Amino acid sequence: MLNRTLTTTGRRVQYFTIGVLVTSIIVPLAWVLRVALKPQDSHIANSTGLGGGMTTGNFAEVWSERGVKEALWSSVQIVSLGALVATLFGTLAGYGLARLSVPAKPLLLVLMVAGISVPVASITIPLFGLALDLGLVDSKMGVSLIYGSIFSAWTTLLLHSYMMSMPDEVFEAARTDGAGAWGTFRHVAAPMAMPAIITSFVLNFQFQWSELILGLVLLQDRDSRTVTVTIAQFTQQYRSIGPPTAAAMVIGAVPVFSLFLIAQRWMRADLLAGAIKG
Amino acid sequence: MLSRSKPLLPTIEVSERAKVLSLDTAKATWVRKSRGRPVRRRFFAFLFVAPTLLGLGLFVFFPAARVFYLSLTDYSGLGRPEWRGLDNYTYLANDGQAFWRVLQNTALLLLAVPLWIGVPFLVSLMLFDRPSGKYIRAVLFIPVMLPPVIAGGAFRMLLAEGGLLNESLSSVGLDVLALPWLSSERLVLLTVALIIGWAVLGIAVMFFTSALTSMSATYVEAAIVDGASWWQIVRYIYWPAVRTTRQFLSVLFTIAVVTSLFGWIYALTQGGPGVSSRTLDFSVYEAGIQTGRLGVGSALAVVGILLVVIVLTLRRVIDRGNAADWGR
Repeated sequence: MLNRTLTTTGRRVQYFTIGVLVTSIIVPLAWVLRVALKPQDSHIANSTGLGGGMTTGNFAEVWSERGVKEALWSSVQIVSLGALVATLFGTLAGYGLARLSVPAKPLLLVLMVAGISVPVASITIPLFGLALDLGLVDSKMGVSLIYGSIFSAWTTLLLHSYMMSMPDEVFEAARTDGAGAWGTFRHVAAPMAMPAIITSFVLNFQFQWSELILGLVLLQDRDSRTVTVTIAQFTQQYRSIGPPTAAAMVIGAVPVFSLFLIAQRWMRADLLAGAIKG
Repeated sequence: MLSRSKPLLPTIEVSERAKVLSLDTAKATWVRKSRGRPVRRRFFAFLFVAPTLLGLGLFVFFPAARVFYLSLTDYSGLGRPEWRGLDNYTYLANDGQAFWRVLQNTALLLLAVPLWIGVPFLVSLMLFDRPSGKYIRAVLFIPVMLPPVIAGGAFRMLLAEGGLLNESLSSVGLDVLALPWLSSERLVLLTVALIIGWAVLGIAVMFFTSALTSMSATYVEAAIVDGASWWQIVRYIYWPAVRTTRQFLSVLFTIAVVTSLFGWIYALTQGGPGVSSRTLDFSVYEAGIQTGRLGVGSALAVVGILLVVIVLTLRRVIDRGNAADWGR
């Protein structure tokens, strides 16, 4: 409807802008894929050429010889558990703060906000010290727990906001039927909040998969390194980024991508937007 | 229990009833009281929040407190921290670790926040009432799903001096645009700002679209009938209408500049050329981890925390000012 008010120039500007934006997204990604499939000599000979043949050799090389297989597996282990922990803790806490008589609610909510305001880089050094003392360096479980804790704060705030906006009648009905706190959570709150819960899980997965600074510091062994740490190290090993690194980048992006695609059905964009009001 | 052939509420004595039910006068019904005494109920409720609190306490708040302590010491990771008082801060104030340049870089990147909000707003307007908008928004969302280190690496490849972008521009005669995007001290921050704008476009568009589609169309229709131009409608109806979204994104992006750019900088520039794109969190890594000066790194970490606090406080002050202006 707004479009009726556009002039011809305005319309052209719009198409142009959208075109530029879409191109700016497709081209870099397609290029990375192209380079990943280029034989290394072709790339060295002509680093910006589109031709040069196709090979899956780079993928094979980084997978078996440069540690990407182990790194991918580490990432999957660490982040699956970490996202689960963050989502679980956050959902429970969000429910408690929204629907139960928790003492000192305002204070606790402020603590949650404080929790998301502390930069991860700022706590990296003490966490490294803590990990050294507790023997958690190179511990995948330990890192999962740390990730889960850090990211449970924003999850709490999201679920709290979402559950506050759910109709009170549902909870009252549950209470009249004799359900206690846990029962209401299990049978009413959690099922109804499923879009929010799934969205939190997917986003937690993305945040933790992408997390770099803690990973660089806490996971140094080749067997426990995450795939993002590995890719980061690859980018620093040579002056320019070549086909093997590009292949690693493709591999590293696939899991998060797939999760987003799979979870599309259950995620709702507007719920995030609605939660902002809270 | 209750059955439909009988009256809705069981006919028990009122005093009996009051033991398990309380009368909600507003809704004129009986509501079952929560089970257990208040203290027990509150304790049980607290259990729901306990895991999160414990995790945050152990892995966020305790380290945050400790980093304040460590910033006053000299610490190499091995052995005990040695007390140094404010030495690390004096060192930073004297431009140790290019401190002032780092703050300047952060300030410059903060200038990009309006861009990261304004452009998506306009894009949302272009798409929200088009049927094809859904698909275009899906494409725009793709960068959001990419880990920064990967997207950063991709752009580093693309924007290198002999990289795809510059080569393509040269081959069509646009040599003048083939700039040293990442290797010029003066251009690098602009490049970084544009790339991050690219990465967050999808989320911002998503939020704006949600706000725009939940608006009622009456005012807009009336304005069109009255002959308002596109710009007038956008400026006087849509822009004010998305104020909460704008404010939310403003806080989100501002905090992100201080806390979340590490992956980007690591992959794109390593803080370079020189220190012209070094951010605060990269500084912590550089000073603390790379050079082993964990005391100095901690001092930078403290500055990071303080910066976030300052930003959040400023935002609240500004918000209150705005609300007052509008007479709310």
